[in-house]
Amino acid sequence: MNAQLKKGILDMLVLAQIDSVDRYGFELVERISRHVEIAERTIYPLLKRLRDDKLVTTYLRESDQGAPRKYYRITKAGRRYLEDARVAWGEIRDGVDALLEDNDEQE
Amino acid sequence: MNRSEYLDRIERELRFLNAEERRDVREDLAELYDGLLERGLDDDGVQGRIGSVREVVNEYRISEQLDRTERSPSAASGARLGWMTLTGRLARGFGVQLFGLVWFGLAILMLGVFLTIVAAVVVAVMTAFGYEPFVATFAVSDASVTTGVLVSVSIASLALSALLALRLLMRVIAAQVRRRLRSDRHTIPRQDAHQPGRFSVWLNRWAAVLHVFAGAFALAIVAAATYPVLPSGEFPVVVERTVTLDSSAISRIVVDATRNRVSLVSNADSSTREVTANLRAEMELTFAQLFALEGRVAEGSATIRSLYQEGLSWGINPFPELVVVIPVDVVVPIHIQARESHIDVSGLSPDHQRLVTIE
Repeated sequence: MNAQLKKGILDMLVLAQIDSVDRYGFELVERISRHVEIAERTIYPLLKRLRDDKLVTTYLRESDQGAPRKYYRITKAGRRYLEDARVAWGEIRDGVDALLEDNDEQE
Repeated sequence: MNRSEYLDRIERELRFLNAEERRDVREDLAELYDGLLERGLDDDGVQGRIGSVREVVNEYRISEQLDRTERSPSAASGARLGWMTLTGRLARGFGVQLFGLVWFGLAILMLGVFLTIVAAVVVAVMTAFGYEPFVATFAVSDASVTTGVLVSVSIASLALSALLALRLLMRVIAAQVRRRLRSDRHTIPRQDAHQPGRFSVWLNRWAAVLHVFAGAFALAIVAAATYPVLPSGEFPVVVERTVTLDSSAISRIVVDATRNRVSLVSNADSSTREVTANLRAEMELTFAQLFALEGRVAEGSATIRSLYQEGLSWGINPFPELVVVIPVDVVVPIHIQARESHIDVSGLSPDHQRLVTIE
C-alpha cells in the first residue's frame, strides 16, 4: 500500500485501537502491523503528535517484564476526532469503491 | 552499534526537540527496541527493522513539520478543520481571537503604565529645575492621584478590549454566516449569492456605530477618572490680629477634598466641627459662607476656586503653600508662601493686591 495513503489513515487506526482499552506503544505497533504493513518507527512520532494535539494522554503503568510502560489513553477530543474520521473514511471508501466499480463496468 | 549507542545517537540528533521530548523519544524507542529483541532479533536485526538513525530522525522531523503546519492559522481552515464540526471551528476561532485580545489588552495596559512613568519623570525633572507644571499637583504631590491615573488607564484599556471583543465577535459571526451560506450556495438562487456580502456590510455598519459609542464611553471613563481633584491637607490659619479673637476662634481649616469635607477646628479645645461641602461640584463656596456656617460672619470675596486659579495665573501652585490669614475685623487677606521670588501681582485689582502678602 502507498506509504502516504497509509500515513493518512494511521491516526484513525491508532485511535481506534485505544478507543475501548488503553494500550502501550509496542502493543499498538504489533496490533497495527499485524494488519497493515508499516515501518515500526512511524508509530511513535505519530503517538507523540497525537499527544501534542491532546487527542491522547499517557501514563506509566508497572510491567511484569521490566520497566514501567507508557500507556496511551484516548481523550474526549480524540474520540470526537475518531468519530469524524470514521464518517469521513466511510464516505471516502464508498466513493472510491463506486468510482472503481464504475470504471470496471465501463471497461 | 549496540542498543545504547543507537539510542544515544538518535537522541543527540533530535536537536529540533527540547530535552524532555528527546527523553520521551528515547524511552519510546527503547520500548520498541526491547519489544523487537523479545521477538528474537539481534541488534542489527532490530536496527534494521526500526531504521537507520537518519531515517528515525527524519521520521520525527517530518512529524514535527506536519504538526507545525497543522497548527498554523492558514491550516486552521484547511484539511484538519475539515474533520471538525461548525461548533468546533467556532470555538477554535474564538480561542485564537481571545488570545490575541488578551495580548492586546496587556499591551495597552503596559503602554499606559509606561506613559504614566514617563509623565512622572518629566514632572519630577521640571520640578527639580524650578518649574511646577499643573500636573505636578497630581503626579508628584499626591501618590493616590497617580494611582488614580493608573486605574483610569486600566479602565480605558478594558473598555478598549471590550470594544475590540465586540467587534471581533461580530466578525466571527459574520465569517461563520458567510461560510455557511457559501457551503449552501448550490441551494441558493443565483441572485441571492450576494446576500452574505450585504449582511457583512450591515454588520460592519453596526460595528462602526458600536465602535463610536464604546469609544465615547471609554473617553468618558477616562475623563471622569482623571478629573482634577483638590489636594487634601491641612491649611493652617495664621491669626494676624488677635484682638478680636476669642477662645473659640478657628485655628485651622482642614480641607479633605477626597471626602468632600471641610473641618473647622476650634482653637480653644481642638474640637472639630465638620462642614460637608462638595468641593468638586460646588467650589463657589466662599470663605464668608464657610464662616457663616460656623456661626461667625467674616467678609471675604475669594472662593476656593478663584484662589486656586489666581495662584495658577501667578505661576505657582498655591495650595500646598497656601496660608489663609483670618483677621476677624474686616477682610480676609490672603497670605501666600511662594518659592518663586518674582511673582507678579500687578495684574490683580488693587483690592486683591492689598489682600495678598507674599513671603
